[in-house]
Amino acid sequence: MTKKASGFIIISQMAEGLKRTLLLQVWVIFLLLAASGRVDSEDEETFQEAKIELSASLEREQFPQNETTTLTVTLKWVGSQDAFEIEPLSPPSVDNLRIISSSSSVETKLDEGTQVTLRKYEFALRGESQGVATIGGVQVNYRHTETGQSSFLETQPIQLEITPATSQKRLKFGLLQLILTIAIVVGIIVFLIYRFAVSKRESVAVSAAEVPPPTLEERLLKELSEIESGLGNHPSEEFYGGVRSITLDFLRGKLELAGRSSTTADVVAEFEQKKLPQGVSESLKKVLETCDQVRFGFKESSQEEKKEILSLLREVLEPEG
Amino acid sequence: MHQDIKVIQEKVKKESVFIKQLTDEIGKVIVGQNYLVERLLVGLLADGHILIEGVPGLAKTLSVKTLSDAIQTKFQRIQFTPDLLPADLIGTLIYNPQDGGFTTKKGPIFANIILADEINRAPAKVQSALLEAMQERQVTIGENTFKLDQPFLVLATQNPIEQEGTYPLPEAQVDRFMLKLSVTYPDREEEMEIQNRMTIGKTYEVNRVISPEDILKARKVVHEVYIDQKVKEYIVNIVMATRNPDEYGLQLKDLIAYGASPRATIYLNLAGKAHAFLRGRGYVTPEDVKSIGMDVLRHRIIVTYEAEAEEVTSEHIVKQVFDHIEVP
Repeated sequence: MTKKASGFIIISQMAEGLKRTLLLQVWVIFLLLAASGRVDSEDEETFQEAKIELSASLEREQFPQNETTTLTVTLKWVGSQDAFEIEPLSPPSVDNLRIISSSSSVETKLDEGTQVTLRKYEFALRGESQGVATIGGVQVNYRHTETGQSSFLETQPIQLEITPATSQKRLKFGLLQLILTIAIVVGIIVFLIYRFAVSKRESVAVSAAEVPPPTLEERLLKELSEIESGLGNHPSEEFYGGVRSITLDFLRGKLELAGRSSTTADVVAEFEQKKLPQGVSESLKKVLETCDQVRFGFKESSQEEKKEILSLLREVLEPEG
Repeated sequence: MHQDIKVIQEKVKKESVFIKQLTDEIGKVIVGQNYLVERLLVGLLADGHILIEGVPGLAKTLSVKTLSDAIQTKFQRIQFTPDLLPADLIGTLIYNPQDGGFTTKKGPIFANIILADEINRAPAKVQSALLEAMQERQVTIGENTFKLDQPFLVLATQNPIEQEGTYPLPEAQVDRFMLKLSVTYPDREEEMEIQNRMTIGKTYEVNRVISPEDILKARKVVHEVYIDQKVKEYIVNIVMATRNPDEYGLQLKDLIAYGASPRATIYLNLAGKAHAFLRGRGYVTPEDVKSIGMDVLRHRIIVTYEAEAEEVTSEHIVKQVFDHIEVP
């Protein structure tokens, strides 16, 4: 025996009032289920009404002949990208215009909790000639993915005005002229300065040729005089540093002695090899050794000793006679 | 002169009096070899060990022996041979059967001046034992560590021409010697004087003119010798030039495998001070540094195979460095 059958026996055995109550309850449930079915059918209607909004806009409706404007065709619908299948968009027919480039993009965003998809097509347009230009309607064919229903939309034709080309080239040319003029003026100035410098150098060379350059001894004696004039002002180390430098310059320039890596002992040994006059080698030895004592051992040096050292060096440097 | 340097100068004069006496005593026995004797004194004063290289018969051993005779110190000569053991050098523990204990038998290293003759004839383990004692100045026998008496100076000799059956010292161990001396033949006059002195059957007695305390006092003064910043920079320039010759305008990069170690900087400074002390000066000049530079650096620069192929030695390189670096 099935459950339905057993249920029927039970119902048939119930009291008449209870039967009516139960039947009433069954009807209420049936009506509720029917109401529920109606809601479903309303949803179906909403899907059927899902639509795409199509719009077309121009960056500017009036633009110079030598410039471009952008036509943007936008498709907007509620739902994901896959809600509609869009057929490839044909470029719009244009009059007195030229399509330079085109691009497309898809963007999905949430707008107050609702998913919205935007598909944009952009066409860069350049004017052919001055006057009125027309962009024909753009037709979009689409198919609803879920229902399979196909449809199409089309924008209204747009008119725009192409104005005469701007005078940018002329401006550029004017700027070029200005730059060239400045360059020429600067070039002339540089040339004049160069000529002036050359003539001055030539005149200096002429005067230099007339006056012979100072000899090594003369130059070093001049430096020695400068040290002597500041005898009381300079610290001993600085004084002897200067004296040593003059001595070594003399030895290097005049006698080809005392390389930069030579110590005082090396230089003194070189004196012996070169067989310098006794007086000269002794004077130079004393000067260099005193310099070392002061520079490395902080030997105190009186004014008299400094004068003596200067005198010894002066004797060596002064030309014979 | 600065007051401090003036004080140092006076100390140097006072403490260096024995130098003349010492060299006079050594001169009684050794003819010439002034360079060798002076460098031995540099090592003695700067507390640095010395490796002496030279062909046989150049009075290397005699010079060291005479120096130690002139100082009231304990001297030991150790002939290094292939069968020498570390225990022969530093000592060992000897079992005493009567009481069942061990007694320490100190080796010949417990002396003030050690002559390690022909150091490269002993195997590496013996060389290591000696070089460790040189560095640490202490010796461990069994469980006991013994400090070596001061002054402690090792003077090692090696023969450069007999390489058969030798154990060359590793570079790292050679670096522990402050100076490496290259002893050369005496000149004609000296050769004649040697002939005159050594062929008449007379023995020369050397008087002990200084004590170990004198040496320790002199060492203290040597450390006080003034070295100017300019000279210190000169030392650093020299050492750095062996490591980065390009930076100093020297075309030696392909010839140097390894430049001088920081020990070179330390020893150039110390040996320079000792050199100044020997000259009776309380301050160091570039001349002092240049004078001892070759002996401090020749064993610290490792040349490349390329240099060896071209027969360029570390001495050539050191000479080029000193000939190039500007003296302050």
